[in-house]
Amino acid sequence: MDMSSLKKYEKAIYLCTTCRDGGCGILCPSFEILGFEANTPRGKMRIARALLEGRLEITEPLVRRIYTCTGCGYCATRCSNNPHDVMRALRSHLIEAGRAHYGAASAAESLRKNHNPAFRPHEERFDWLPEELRAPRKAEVVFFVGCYGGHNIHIHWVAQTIVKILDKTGVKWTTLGPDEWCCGEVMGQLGMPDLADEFVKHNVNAINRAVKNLGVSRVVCQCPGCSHVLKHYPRRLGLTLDAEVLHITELYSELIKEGRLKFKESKKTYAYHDACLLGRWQGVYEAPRAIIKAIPEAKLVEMEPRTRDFSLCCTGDVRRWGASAGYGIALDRFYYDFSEGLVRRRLKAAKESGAETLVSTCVGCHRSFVGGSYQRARREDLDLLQISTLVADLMI
Amino acid sequence: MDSNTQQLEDIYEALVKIVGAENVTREECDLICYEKDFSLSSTTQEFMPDFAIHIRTTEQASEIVKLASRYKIPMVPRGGGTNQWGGSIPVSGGIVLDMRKMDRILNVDEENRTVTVQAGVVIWNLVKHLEKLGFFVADKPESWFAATIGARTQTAGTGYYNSRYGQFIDQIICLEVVLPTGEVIKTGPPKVYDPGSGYDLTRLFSNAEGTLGIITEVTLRIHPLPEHRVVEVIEFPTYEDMIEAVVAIRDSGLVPETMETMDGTRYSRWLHAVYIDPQEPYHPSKVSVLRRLPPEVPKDAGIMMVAYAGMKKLVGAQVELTNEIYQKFGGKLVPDWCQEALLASKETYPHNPTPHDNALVGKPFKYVFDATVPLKRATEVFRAYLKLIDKYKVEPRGVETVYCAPDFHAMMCAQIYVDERDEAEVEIAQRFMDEMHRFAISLGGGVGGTGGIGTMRIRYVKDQHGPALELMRRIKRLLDPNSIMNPGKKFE
Repeated sequence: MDMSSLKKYEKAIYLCTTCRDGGCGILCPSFEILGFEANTPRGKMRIARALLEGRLEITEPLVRRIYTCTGCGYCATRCSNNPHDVMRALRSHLIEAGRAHYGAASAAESLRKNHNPAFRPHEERFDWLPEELRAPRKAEVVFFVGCYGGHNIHIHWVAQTIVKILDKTGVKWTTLGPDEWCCGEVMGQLGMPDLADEFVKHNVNAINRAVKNLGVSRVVCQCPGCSHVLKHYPRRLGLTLDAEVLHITELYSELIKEGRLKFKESKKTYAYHDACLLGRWQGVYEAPRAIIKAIPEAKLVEMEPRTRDFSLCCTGDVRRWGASAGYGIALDRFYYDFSEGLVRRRLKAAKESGAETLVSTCVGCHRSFVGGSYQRARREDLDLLQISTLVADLMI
Repeated sequence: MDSNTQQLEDIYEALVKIVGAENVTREECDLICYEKDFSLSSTTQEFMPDFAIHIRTTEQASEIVKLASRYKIPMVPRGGGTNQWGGSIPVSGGIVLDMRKMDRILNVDEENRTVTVQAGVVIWNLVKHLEKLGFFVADKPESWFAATIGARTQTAGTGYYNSRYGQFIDQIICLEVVLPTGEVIKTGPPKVYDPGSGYDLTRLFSNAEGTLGIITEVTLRIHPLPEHRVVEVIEFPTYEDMIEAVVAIRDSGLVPETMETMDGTRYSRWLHAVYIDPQEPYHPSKVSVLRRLPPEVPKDAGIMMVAYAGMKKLVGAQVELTNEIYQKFGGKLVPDWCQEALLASKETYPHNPTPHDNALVGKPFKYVFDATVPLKRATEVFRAYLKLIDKYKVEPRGVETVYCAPDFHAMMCAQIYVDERDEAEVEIAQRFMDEMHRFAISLGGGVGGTGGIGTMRIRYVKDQHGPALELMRRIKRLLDPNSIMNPGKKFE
């Protein structure tokens, strides 16, 4: 059998000795819900080893173990051996073995055809904007909307809210127009790194052209996945991105510092949920908190102990692959229950911290918590808000 | 279907009835993850269990034990799976009880300073829970992210705070045990440690490594978080000087909360493992703890980590007295930035130094020695270790020692790097292990150390216990006549 994707990580796989520090195991979200060693990164390292040695057959339960890794990166904060990369390599191996979830193949097909994994025509990417604003123009920043923000009509409100805030604070923005493709993160997660790289290359070239032609100096992403990829992948591929990449919360907190973004008072207590791709993968823990702290009278509480780099994943990713990959994984009851289990834990933690409102940055997290696409929702006595909605609601 | 397969099928159905289908697995991909722990073993040794299950209540544990004794199928309770001597490996197959879903903190008695938890609570979770209430348990091992309280009671062990409060076993007030017959007992009154009222069952069932029953609940002492805590890291020119300083601190009547030492090699390796080039792009596994290349430290040197806690004034006075003592033996504080890096990585593990350390050498490290040694003989053990490193030409990772109250006996452990795929290397490591342990026994020490006996150190217990071993065997047979509780461990 073709083992090339696992062979690439052979060294890491054999360096894992289920060490006594063992930090990757217990706090892994998959283990939290499903239990058993096979649902921990160290367990999957052993599975990878057994596959390499030809001791293990690929069975349906094994495929499930491999897909329930949420990609949250908690193991990466505990271990420099990068179990996270091996989790992705295991998915690549499933593709090699012809045992990948059908959602993965359909997402890849859509990406090749539509430049997005959502099965929507590429031309629809900026349908959420009035027609006259869709084309690129001279500006300071490029607003990189992402597939999730652009192609899902139910959550067009995210991008529309952000644009409203940018206009009000006087930030001159543009889009990349038809040059904006999927950032590639989804493909990385599903075990297709080469396909992901193609998309990174395309976007880097498109942004560099915009820097030259439109005079932009920054790229602002609403999706933490896009900003993670644009910040870190070009360097890995030996490319240079001529623009600075920011997540939208980083821009907001900068605008607050400059006095361009001000809020009216709110006497509520807010808990902030660290999105994995923003916190752990980019180290952006402070910017979103700074926004809540800038609201007069507002109180920010932490969901101790699982906050910042210990944050518990909401499994937005597992749902998102499903949603984007042709309604594959999300409609599978097993993955749905898994995801719902984590969401309940998170809501409970928010409630216990004394919060009235749970604020998330990533739309994936917000949708997981809401259990749908609504901009505003109330669940378990908590108001659920995405951070741009909060900013738009309270800005003066 | 042969009778064996039929029996396994029956057991499976019975297990599902007790704990529910989602808590039982017999999938190969699940079982393969339980065939090992952190112990040294060649890759050709594989011990797959027949089932792995999660239990949530004492009643379930009792039912499972009854089932196992009916079918005479072995049972292996398992916590975080970080045991370094093979204690959690199912050497005879059977049922692995993954205890980590027995994870409820049942009661914190703030007035009487006790906490009662289910056995599967992970130490990190307990520490964080108590922190919120202003308390701490006087035990924090390196494995606190993974190890469970139940497994900790079963395998001895050392960690932070031992030099003031004693070892983990000294924190235990009472245990709830499911006996191999399925009966459930408490080993003492719920709020106080009361060994005088009978045979001390709490101590008997502690450190039994799951061979006498399943620990389902543990009551521990807790202490209020101190007002002030100071940690100092001191470098001594030689290991001998450092041991002399430890002796002097003990004899002076000072009560450090933590007293831990390492040799130069261990210290250097630790710092190198947490050094990340600040130019490296951001990655969650590469959060820079140390921004400068660490200094070279001779392998002969001794590094002492000493901590005091309590009222600020009292801590200040103790630190001052300690400073006088270490200066007498040529000790110097290590540079601030080294101390900061060492403590940050020890305290919080922003990233776990172990894998990085392994990657620098290209093979994983394994424990080859772990024993309780009389304090004054610690230097001899260290010298013997250095000699063996030269003799067997192995890559050392160094020696670490924790000193435990009240007599500051030294819990020494040593590690080397071993490629488990290489049979010859594993063989050498085993010989290294034999010589070190037998030397420690000859000095009047014991091989219990941390992590218990497991499968790997059974060969030394006869040397240590002599005729007392037969009595232990009789106790085991009395409690577990079918020998179903973690067979092949401790002394079998």
